[in-house]
Amino acid sequence: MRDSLSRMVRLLDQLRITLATWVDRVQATLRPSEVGQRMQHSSLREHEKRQARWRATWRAGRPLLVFAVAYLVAWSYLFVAAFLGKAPPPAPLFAPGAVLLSAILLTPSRHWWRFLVAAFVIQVPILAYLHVPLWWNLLGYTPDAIGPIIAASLMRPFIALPPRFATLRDVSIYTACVGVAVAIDATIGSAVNAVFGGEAYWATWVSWYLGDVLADLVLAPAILLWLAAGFGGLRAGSRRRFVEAGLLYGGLLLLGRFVIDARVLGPDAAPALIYLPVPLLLWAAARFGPRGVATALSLLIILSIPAVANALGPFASTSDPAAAVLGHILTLRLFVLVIGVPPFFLAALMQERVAAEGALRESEARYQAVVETQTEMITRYRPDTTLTFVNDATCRSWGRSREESLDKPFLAALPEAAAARVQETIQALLAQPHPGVATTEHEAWGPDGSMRWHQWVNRTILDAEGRVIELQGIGRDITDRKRAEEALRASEARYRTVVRNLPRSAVLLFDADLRHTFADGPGLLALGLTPEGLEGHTVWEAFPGELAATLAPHYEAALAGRAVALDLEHAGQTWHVQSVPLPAAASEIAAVPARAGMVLLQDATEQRRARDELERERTRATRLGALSQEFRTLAEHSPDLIARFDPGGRLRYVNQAGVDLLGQPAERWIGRTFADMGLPPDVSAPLTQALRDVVATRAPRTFDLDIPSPEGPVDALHVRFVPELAEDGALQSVLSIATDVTALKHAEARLAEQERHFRTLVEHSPDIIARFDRQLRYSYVSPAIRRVSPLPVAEMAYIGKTNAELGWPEAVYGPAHQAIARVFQTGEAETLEEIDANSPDPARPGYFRAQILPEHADDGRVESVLTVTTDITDFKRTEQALREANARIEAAREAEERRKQIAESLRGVLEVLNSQRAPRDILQYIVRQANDVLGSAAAVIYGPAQLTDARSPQTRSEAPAAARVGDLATTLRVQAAEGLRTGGLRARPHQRLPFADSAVEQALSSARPVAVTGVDGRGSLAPEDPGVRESAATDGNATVGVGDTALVCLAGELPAPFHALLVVPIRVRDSLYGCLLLLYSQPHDFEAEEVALAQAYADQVAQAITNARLQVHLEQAAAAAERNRLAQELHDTVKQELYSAGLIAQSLPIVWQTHPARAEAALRELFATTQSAYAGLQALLLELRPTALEQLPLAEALRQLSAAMSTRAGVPVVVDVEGAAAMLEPLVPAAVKIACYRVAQEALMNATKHARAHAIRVRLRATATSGRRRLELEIADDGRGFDPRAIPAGHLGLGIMRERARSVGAHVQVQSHAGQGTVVSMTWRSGQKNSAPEEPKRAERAHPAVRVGGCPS
Amino acid sequence: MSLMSEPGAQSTAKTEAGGTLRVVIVDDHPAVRRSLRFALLSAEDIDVVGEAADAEEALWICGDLHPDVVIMDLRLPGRLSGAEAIRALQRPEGSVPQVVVHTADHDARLVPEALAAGAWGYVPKQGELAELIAAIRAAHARRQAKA
Repeated sequence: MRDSLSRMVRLLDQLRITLATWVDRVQATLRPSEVGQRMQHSSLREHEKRQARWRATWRAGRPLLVFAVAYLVAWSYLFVAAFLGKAPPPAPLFAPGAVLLSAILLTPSRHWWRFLVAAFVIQVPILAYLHVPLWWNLLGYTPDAIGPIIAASLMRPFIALPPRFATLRDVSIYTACVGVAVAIDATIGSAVNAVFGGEAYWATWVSWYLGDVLADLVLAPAILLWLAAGFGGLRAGSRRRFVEAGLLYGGLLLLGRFVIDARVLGPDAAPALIYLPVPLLLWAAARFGPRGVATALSLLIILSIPAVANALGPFASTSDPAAAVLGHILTLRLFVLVIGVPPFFLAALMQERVAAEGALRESEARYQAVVETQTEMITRYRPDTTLTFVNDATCRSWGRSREESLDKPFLAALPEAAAARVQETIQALLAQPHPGVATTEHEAWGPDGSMRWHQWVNRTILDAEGRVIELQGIGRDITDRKRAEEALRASEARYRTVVRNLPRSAVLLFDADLRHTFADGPGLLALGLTPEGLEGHTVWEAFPGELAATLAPHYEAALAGRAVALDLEHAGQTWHVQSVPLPAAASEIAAVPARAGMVLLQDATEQRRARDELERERTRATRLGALSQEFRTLAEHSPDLIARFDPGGRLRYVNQAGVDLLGQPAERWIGRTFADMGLPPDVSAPLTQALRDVVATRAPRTFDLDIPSPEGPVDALHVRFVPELAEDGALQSVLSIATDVTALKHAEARLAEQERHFRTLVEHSPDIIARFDRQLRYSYVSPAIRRVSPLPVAEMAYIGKTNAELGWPEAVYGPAHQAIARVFQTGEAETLEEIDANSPDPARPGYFRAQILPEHADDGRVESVLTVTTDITDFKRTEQALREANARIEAAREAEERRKQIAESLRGVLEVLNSQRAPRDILQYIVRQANDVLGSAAAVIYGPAQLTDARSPQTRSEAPAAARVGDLATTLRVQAAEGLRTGGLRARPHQRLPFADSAVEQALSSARPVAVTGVDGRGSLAPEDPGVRESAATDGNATVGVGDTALVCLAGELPAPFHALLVVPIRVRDSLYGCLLLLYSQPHDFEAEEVALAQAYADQVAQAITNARLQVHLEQAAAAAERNRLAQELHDTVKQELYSAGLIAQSLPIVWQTHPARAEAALRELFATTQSAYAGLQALLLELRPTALEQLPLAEALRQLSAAMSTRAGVPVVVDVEGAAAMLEPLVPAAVKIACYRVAQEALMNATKHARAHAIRVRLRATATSGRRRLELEIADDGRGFDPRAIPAGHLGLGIMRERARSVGAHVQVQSHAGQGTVVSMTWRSGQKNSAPEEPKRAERAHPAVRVGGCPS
Repeated sequence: MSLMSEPGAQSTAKTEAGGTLRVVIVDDHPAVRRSLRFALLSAEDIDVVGEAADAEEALWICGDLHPDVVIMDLRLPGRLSGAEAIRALQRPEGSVPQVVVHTADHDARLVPEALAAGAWGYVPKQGELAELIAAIRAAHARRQAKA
């Protein structure tokens, strides 16, 4: 509609522009030409400005115009449909009010005055037409204007305007605000009408209130929702939906048309038609949401307005039309309120459910997105490793698409050995009693077919019963780490290989604490040492005290950056000990003190022995003055360079090793000094100096010397000068022995290189890598430690210290220490997950996973433990988010299940309410449903005796005083109960529940729900519920608003096993019928939704009670009508006949004397009259006792009836019974017999009273063919007849006859024409739809078919 | 002669007593009409000249027979009620019979309505025959007085 209006507005706009242009042209033509020339340019600009001004005004005024049209249309429809009908106003609902409210809700408050003024201007002429004076109109309009403003102002703090009706809360708040606002405007408006119009105040108030509230609850939502939906709202989602909408609303229109045009029913039955559209309303609510149901209700109301005004369809009436219309308006309003508004709530509830499902899908999608954007691999699989889920990261890593992976076991895709290991791990995980986590590291094929290493953390996912339904694996590629570890291991192995192959040597590395970090080499064994005995131990711990005292200064010298050497006698062997500093990296400056050192042990026993021998030989030779050949032989075979210099520094001898080293024949060098040998200055200078020193000091000298070599970068020599003294102490010569230590130097360099590589690797790892010795002291820690420790990263801060020594609290390192100790003990790797105690935000703690790996020595002993600590905070948070998402999904699913259950239950109650069940059964059903849905242990309907009996209504309006309410509370009894047991016994019907007295009294006096908790329980309110508002507690009780319902809370004793009680008053408008009690066996927090739901069940109980009371009223009215009819019958027949007999008897003595012949005839008349009275009485008695009518054969009953009628009217009635009627009669249900009798009675009455018939024939015919029985009754007269179409439905009892017949599944036909008599026939067939229920067969009684004359003689 | 003779036949039969008081009975119940006709034989001066079963028939007979007094029941079948018939009988042209309402109906509305319409008096059906006869005579006397 909005679009068509805007199109219309655009058209009008164009028209206006065209007109303006024309006007301008005409003005230009009329204007003097010279002025026109001058002004032409400026007038063009003026014209554009005017157009812009017009457009702005038009835009501002457009909503007002749309409103005016809609308001006018609403008034016009009301005027035409209601005020011009047969029975004028009031209309069932005030449509213009809905338009005004919609406009107010759609616009900001500063524009409201425009709509209010426009509405008043439109209303004036209409009401003037109805002769309402202007001042009264103004007074009467004021409340109409106030209502929407109050409603909008009340709504604004609670919901966004305009309302969307998307949730139950929206609908509830809207309904409540509109209810309050209309109550205020009805109060003012009725007062105006009462004061100035003399109308009855309360009648006007009720009419005003219902009319306005209906318009605001039905039409206004329809308008708001359609405007919100716009043109897009007309488009159906699909062709099917479009067809469905067409069927629904087409069906509604057709049904409305049928209901309004229905003329076939009597006035008693017609109102039932109004319930026909209810299924369509429920359909609209279930499938088309609030907009659908509001539209359907609006259609229904719009159709019914003219129907009410013209007394059509369900609003037809035979009695006073004006009074009937008022009654029908009330019926229609109540119908819409009671039947129409719940589907509106239902629709909101369902829309809310759809929205919740959408949110659920969104949440799932978000979860999916979270999982898919993970760089870590995430999979889910069944215990047989069949994959049910893989994320993108996994697909990328495996090089397989999702489809290729899903539904296949992933073990098949792993290398064989890895598959076996993984299988074993999963089996172990499944065998765990509790949900567990297992980490595996295994080989896997990469996307390019290469071998990769993956680490997977597997955890089980359990169902509610603790069974494993799936497993989840979170994995990452650890190939790089594995490779680094491999490389480190290989490097260390290589190093050890080098060291172990140094002949008769050993290499020891030590740290700043003089603790050995590495020890290996064949020399160790010769010394009686093992690598294990050295590594991790300080020099003091590893060596015996004396030896340690000798070595320690050398270790310290190395740390100080000096290389020192000594020869050590130990166990009969001589060891050459060299101690050298070991820089951390090649790039470090030499001046910086070293942080580690190396000790090189060489078995120098052999060398020493040879040297000593040589010495002895030389001494002897010197003494003998001859050079020993033996020395030469020895020297020649030494691998070391051996040379002898005279005190002048000239070479006297060099052995073969020296010749090989120098690369020239010995003769070339003999007699030369170092300076003459052509050696590079940096080689010859130290040698020359050393030789001079020895000559000068006569003390041996040892030093290392690097010599550039053609093969390699440097040859390293260990050089020793020894003075050879004569016996007189004179220096004879200097012996020089140089050992090639190039291989050793290279090994040292390689070791340092490897060490640097290792450091580089671990120090750039984000993981914290640390090594602990058996005393749990750090022997290594990577710089990543700074992530958890404030200490400087310098290694010395940690190395050799335990965590306790570092001053860390035990709570932080305790678990790790225990795990490391276990690993030392068991040799098994462990994984430990820890919370980061130093996390800056305690609410979002960090997490670490430490892998604690044993490092085995060759003998299998654990010599150290390596810990690799990984920050898994992100992983943990993802896992937490995943868990929370799962929990949210689960909660949403539960909420949806609950809503379904509530909707099912309420639908069931609605069905039962509309069924023919006994009131007690209906109450029992509702109480059972309430108990099931609200999860209470027991539910009770607690009300006065004869709750469903109209004779004893207990209403609050009758007993407003507190004392009376208290009295009322004690008169209540259990009317229906489910699950109620007190003192171990089931509740008796009509039992009193004294423990509930005070709560019931409170609920009845306040007309609000009351909660009771046991003394031990706390105030049973859900404090997290945003709808709960607590008020000041004055008397120990608290009154709180739960949602829109105020809940009073009491503390009190409840009998076992109950701990909480909710009392909800059962009310219909002002009347209180009792309470619905809900008892809980656990302390209970009542939530707003729960209280509202309990109130809904209480309302259903109220509806059931109202229905039952209406039924009792109807039955009483029917009984009274029947009594009146019998009384009238008695008056018309027997009384007249007895009076006639009396007249004859009084006059007979006198007439006998004057007219004996007439007196004799009169005596016969007297007899006939008394006979007739007797027959009449018998017929009446038959009707007074329905069982007599059932027991008497139908043919006999018809005969008695005919006899009475015939005698009374003086018209012969022939009864004709055909076929086997008497024999078949036992097969005809009693209800059908009674219906036959009533139809015959009504038809005979018409024939004798109105038709002026001279003869009447009653024909009864019964047949049975192939098991189907058929009964025909026909009453035919020869009277004056009538035109059946000209007789109104309620006349001549035709409607009663049809209704009687229809109630047993029979059919009545009336054939008549003026002057041609009347035939009324009724036909019944067994097995027909609505056929009367069959009775058990009775013994057949033989009643021969007879043909009887009209009157008894 | 039979008491069950047709009303039309009765209208022509003059009483042998040659009474001066001519009465028409209007009642829908045939037994009442027959017993009234018989009972009024006990009054020498009253002559039942006709009977009618409904108001239309009553108007037709009265127009034909010009009775002095009409004994009328008020609950009558047909389109006209008893009160409407009484009103129709009060036409200025011709002789106007006096109407004695004779009904068993205690309906508080019907009797006052009939009296307002011009009925002379009301004798309930439960009363004595003598009371009715006295009423007929009094009505006749009133008619004569008016004449």
